[in-house]
Amino acid sequence: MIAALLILFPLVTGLICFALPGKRASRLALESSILTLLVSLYAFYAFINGQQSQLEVSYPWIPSIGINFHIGIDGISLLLVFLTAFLTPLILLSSQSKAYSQSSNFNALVILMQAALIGVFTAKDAFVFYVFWELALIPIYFISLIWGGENRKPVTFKFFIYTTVGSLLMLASILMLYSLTPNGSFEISAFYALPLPPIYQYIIFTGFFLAFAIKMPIFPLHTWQPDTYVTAPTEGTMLLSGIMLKMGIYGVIRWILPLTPIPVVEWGWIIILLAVIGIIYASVIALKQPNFKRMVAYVSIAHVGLMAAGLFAGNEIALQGVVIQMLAHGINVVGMFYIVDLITRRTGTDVLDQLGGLRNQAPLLATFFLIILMANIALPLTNGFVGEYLLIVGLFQHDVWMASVAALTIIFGAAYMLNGYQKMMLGAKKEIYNHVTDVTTKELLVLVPITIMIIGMGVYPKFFLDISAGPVKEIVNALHQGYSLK
Amino acid sequence: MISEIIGLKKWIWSISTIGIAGILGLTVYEVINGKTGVFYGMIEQNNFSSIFSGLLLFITFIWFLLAKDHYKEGNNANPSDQAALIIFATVGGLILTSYTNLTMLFLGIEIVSIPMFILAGSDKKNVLSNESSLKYFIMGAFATGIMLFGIALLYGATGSFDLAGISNGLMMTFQNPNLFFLVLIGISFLMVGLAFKVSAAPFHFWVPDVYEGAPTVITAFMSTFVKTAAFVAFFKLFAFGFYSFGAYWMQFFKTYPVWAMQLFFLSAITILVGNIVAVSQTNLKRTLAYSGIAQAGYLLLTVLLPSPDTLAALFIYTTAYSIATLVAFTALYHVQKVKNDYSFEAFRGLGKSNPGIAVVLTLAMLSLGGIPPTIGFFAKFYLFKSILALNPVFIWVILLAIIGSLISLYYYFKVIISMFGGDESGTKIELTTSDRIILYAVASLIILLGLIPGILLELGSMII
Repeated sequence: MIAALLILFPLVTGLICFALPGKRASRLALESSILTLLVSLYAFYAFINGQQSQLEVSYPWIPSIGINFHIGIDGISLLLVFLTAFLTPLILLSSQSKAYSQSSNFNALVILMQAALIGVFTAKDAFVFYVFWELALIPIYFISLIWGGENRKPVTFKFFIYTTVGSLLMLASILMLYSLTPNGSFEISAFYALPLPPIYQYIIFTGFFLAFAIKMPIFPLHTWQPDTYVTAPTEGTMLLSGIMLKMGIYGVIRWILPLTPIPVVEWGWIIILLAVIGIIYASVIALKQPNFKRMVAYVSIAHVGLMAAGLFAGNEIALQGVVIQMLAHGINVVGMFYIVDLITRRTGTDVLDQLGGLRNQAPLLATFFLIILMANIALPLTNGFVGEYLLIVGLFQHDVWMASVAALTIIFGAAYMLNGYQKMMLGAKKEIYNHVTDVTTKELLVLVPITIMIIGMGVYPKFFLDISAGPVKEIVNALHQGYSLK
Repeated sequence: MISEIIGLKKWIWSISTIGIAGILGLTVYEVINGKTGVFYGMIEQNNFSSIFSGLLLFITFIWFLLAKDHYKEGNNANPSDQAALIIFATVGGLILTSYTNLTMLFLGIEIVSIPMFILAGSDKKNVLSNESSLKYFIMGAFATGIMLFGIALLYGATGSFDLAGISNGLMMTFQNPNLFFLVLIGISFLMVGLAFKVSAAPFHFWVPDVYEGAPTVITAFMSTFVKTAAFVAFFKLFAFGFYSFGAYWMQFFKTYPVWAMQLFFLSAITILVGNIVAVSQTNLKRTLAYSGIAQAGYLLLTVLLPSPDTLAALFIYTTAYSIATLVAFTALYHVQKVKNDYSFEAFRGLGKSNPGIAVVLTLAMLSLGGIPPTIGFFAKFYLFKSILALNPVFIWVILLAIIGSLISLYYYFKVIISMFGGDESGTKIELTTSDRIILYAVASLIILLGLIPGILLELGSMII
């Protein structure tokens, strides 16, 4: 019931928002997203750690083909649903300090995307998963197309086509799995129960993995990402980097690791290699970026590279690291893009060399910036540290060399982030920026919850780790069992 | 026509619409009651014919509702003639769903085509329209001639015009190599004739010019009704006429029958050509023509692999395609009426000036492209599923269709991008309330059926 509510409520509200005038739509959207957050907090309360999927809802949808509208929440899904529910009100608040034209449509699209994202994270039926996966693409496409920056038409279109290529390959894999089930069912449990011969595993793995690798993205399928992040409006980028890319990682956890263990183990090293190359590649490029927004886009690729490597390390520590890092990265990157947006709106530029000395005019902003930045660098006591630590340890247990190279991300992270901070905030006061105001109360509403989460998760990650421990253990066990069966 | 003579000119359109609706109702009644029968051995009535006839009548009914605007006073002097011609064509389509005798197949094709030849040229002052009519007529005559030749050869080889008789007779030809040869050529010629009608490559060259030149409402009818009717006929021929022959061939020769390879080749080329050439088009009308060609490629896969599942997939796919194309052409018609231009430029800023039409056209494009939660997605999904259910090795066929779909996204999105991405808003397009309601209602079917495809699946499973 709760799971269905989490999807239906934003869906209905989003559709209503289209019809309302601007101000009322903004208010409705905000209220709805906060309500969704409360429902997700209730889900935390109702959830029992360690058990399998709970709060399930299953309605027959197209029974003749074996499609049920089956959604359920287990530990990993719960954390990601919470991430979505937590970030959406912040994203809406961020958009409401600007005057977007046709803001009712904008709010409606954001809320609809929230519904689709929650659907992806809770789907327990492959058809439902695929429909929500594609559905999540439509609002973000229109958000970027209508409110995006220059050059948005070809960039957003490249993004759409690139993602759809992956999605259609995933559809082929899903259909292949379906054709192998004895009674023709799309249920995930039916898929898990299939004894898949190796050749099928490789084919199915390829279809699914390409879709998820494009979504995350993993080098070398990342070329759509920097342009799209820069061209999209800030809230669009927040949606993309904060939540949408987690869809890709979640997809691997839910649909690849337990289903196709043989390619995961046999080809895992290639993927870890690509991911680690991606980390170094993106970090080096990030160091050289003149624009802060573009730099954060590349930083995102680097962080995702570490998570992707952790996915294929095949042990519990790494997978726990992936889950907690998904949560942490979502919060941190949204915070980072928000700070970028604040600075850009005040000073009119995000070119590092043109900025400087802003801490004189906006000390509070500088403080929050530093906190969020430290979270991105993975300073201990911030949430970023928990994830990165677990990931590097887990990866180290799997492959010492890869982990050592991947650990360079910490050093790189410090380099580009602190360099950016120094260029923007520190240094001599620049007179041209005297008009820059410090954070307003409305902006504090966004920054404070993020900071609380950063420090809270950093100090007491156990709460979240316990929730995901059960499913993570199960998935790793399924992976090892599946592989040993060969 | 009678009403024109009587002088009830104003009511012609309404009478036609109600008439079609009435026949549709009768057909639904027949489906529910499961009536069957065979008439003079030429036409049969069973679930197959009733359900597909129902679909065709539904398309005609919606067409009448949507095309009403074109035939208002002053626009076009003889709505009665055109309505009559459309109804004649509908009769032809109904024959095509229920034939059991190849002469009826020929008759059906002709009855559908000849009104189309006339209607394509009905915009007498437009030279493109004249060209389209002439092209369609000449090439259509050729294709029908070849088809007739094929029918004659099959008669010569099997001694029967009847589908069942041919099916039996074909089994005899295994003993006789001369007859066998005749049979192969006959089937190929029949395939060519029908492939022309369904706009499969390499017999598709007439489509873009004919579709572009004809008046938009007529193009809408051609690309939905005629294509659907021709596909039903095509499927019926190959599934009931040649299937057992093909099965025996596979047992005997241990390879796929020749015409299966031909059909696969046709469908692969059609998917590729239709999608790739569509990318370079600069106006929506021609793009929709090529889109129709590409969709025909996907549909040909059902003819290639007949089974109860693919038959249901054919039904669902033609329904989804017809609804989406009708909506797209209607939107195009309204934009063209005001701006006298159907290139992509004419759609700039439509998202701001006419959000209703823009959203409706976007839905149609998403459905044709196969994006959830539209009915077009479900149709493609079901098509892929039914093909894969026959044999997992057909994943490669599916991959071909997927590649085609991806390419198609490019040109389906071109109009969406120009509608929503542009900055300027053009002149607002006025639509009467009733037109608007009908358009929205039909477009909402795209989403409703996409979310609850159960009805279509039920009907699909009842066909065989």
